[in-house]
Amino acid sequence: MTADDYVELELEDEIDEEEDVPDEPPAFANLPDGRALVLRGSEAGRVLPEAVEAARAVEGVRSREDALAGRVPLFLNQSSHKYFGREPEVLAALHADYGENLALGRIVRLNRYSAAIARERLDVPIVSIRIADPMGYTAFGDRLVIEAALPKPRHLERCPYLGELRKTPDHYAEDVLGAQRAAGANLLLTTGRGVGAADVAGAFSEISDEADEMFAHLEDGEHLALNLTLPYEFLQNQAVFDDVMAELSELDQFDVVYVRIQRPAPNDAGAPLADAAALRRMFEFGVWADREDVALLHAQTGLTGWLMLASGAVGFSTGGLPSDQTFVRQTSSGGGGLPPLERHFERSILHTVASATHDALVATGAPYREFPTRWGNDALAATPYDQALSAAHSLYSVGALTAETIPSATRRGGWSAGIHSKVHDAHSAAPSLGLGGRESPTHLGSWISVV
Amino acid sequence: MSEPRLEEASVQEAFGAPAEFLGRGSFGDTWCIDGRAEKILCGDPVDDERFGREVEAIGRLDHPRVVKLHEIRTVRIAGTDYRSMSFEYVAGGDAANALDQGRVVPIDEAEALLAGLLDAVEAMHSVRVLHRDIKPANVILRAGSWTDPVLCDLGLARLADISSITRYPAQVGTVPYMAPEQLAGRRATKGGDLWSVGVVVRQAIAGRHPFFEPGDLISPARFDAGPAALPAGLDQSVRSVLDDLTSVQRHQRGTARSNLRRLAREG
Repeated sequence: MTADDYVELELEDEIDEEEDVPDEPPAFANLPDGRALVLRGSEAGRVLPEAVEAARAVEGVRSREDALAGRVPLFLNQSSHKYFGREPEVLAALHADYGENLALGRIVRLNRYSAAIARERLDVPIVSIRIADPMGYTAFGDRLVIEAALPKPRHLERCPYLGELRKTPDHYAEDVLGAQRAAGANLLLTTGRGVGAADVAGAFSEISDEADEMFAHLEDGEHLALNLTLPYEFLQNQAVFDDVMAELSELDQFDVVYVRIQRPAPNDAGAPLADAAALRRMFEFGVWADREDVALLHAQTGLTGWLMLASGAVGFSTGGLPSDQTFVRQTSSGGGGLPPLERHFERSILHTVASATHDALVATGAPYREFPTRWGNDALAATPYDQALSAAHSLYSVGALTAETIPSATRRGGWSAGIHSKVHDAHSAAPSLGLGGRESPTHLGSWISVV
Repeated sequence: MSEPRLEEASVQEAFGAPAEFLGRGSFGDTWCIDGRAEKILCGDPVDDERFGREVEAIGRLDHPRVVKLHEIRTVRIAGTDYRSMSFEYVAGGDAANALDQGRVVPIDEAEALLAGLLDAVEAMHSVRVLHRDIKPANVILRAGSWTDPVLCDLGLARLADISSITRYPAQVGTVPYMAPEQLAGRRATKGGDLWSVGVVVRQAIAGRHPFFEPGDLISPARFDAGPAALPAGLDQSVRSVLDDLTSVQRHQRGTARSNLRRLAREG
């Protein structure tokens, strides 16, 4: 059966068997390899052997270069080690609903999986960018105030190069690139070795040498991004910020920077960054990137990364767990800050609340506005509240928020108005909702001052 | 014009051709001989290893905004062996002489001067060569035109000891064009070259150094007040790029490539 036959069959089924008409009509996206992906409907996720007619397909999958060009924001999904099951489905739905205003990407952390599993996690046909993060910073815990002894033996088993980054043997660049290729990455990264506040110039000297090595080992058609891991002092200390930015400006061979910035303090993991001074430095970083035509991708930022799209950043990543949304000082248990609680993402206030609070807000009515998703509805209906469905709800909601705040006619650098409007609306609505404690979106006051 | 270290007759005899003295630098004199600019290293001592590294990179450069290094040879002059670097000769005089004569760049030619120097720096940086000593005396104006600048004396400042120069205008004339971070003892960078381009072009437009008056002590505190104002009527994109090039914060200066892009986009 050809793709066209399949489409015809689908349409005939809809006509002939009205009772079986699905809630959502099928949607298809043509894949770069000539096949097609069913995005919605009962066959969602199925790959068809041939492309469907353009008229029947939603926006095609963007090429890697198009996704990095900054014409639309790049929404990166950090594959969660716990709630990964629904992520491909959510990404497909985002593409079906918002593909015109959104590019999608997927990230796996190489130290967490075998190459085979990492490859499986990255094999999501709808994404334009596939990143296999080499997690090099874990070999530089002393520079980044990572309290746990990293890398752990199991990390070294999966990523032997982590044990050699400080010695930089001849083959390490090839090893790091090879591990990413084996996982199916299409945007390769440098190692991500940590930058310590005490010796910024020294760390960048290593990064520069590493870049030379890795560029020398690139193959045709490959694209290498600078993978930067910055200490919390970057956001807290102006001198460190200036030093990092000065050194970064000297590394002009990269057109993509993938950056992970440590939070200034081990605060509420997963919560948006609220420190106004830190936000302003992060914002200045984005302005610099926009001016320099560097595609800045914020890793492990969650909603704070969305805010940074207003600065000139091209993309950001989020995931199902608090540790996917914040890069904080790691504890020996691997997490940071408070344990994850029942958290339901509310687009109207750009924050999360408990499910009971959500119900109360719905009952309150205006100025609260509900943005339901099918995953969120199911999560709320489950007893107890379903965290996996909640993660899918958050992923879709943040993706939708990203696409909807970006007018299609603008490119990066022109996204601030839409983001400002959303932050302003949330900031205006929040006080009358009577939220307190961790449910209060206290970050919005700082956010308003930044955008 | 300053006096040459070597006698004209000795130089002519060594090269077997008429020699016209062009100028004196901290570690060498430059002569026009047989249609080339011969820089004879007869000044401050030069570190051999550094010299070899630098000239290897400079030799790879082939760009219309950068003087071409043809060859390096050893020449015996008045009984002493000197290294001589044989460069393309660009007629027209340098920007320092033009400024000494009271010639400033017309406002409508400022963009071409700025773009030309950025183009030269971009070419150098793309092969990982830092100039380290961009100043009016190292900008040749082809046929005397501000719109046709050519950079000379590439990368040679690395060979000289400039730590003792603290007053403007000093004999070598380097420190007043050094970026604040270099004055603070940090290493030379691409950002330092960009700063120097900004200072040189501002000086060429205004006819005065943007931060220092003659006799001023060279102090980083001078930068706090910002550069002297540029004349009204200057193109906004040129003004904006110049303001960023002379920013104390290195990252505001961007790269030669990004500033060229801005000029093309906004100009």
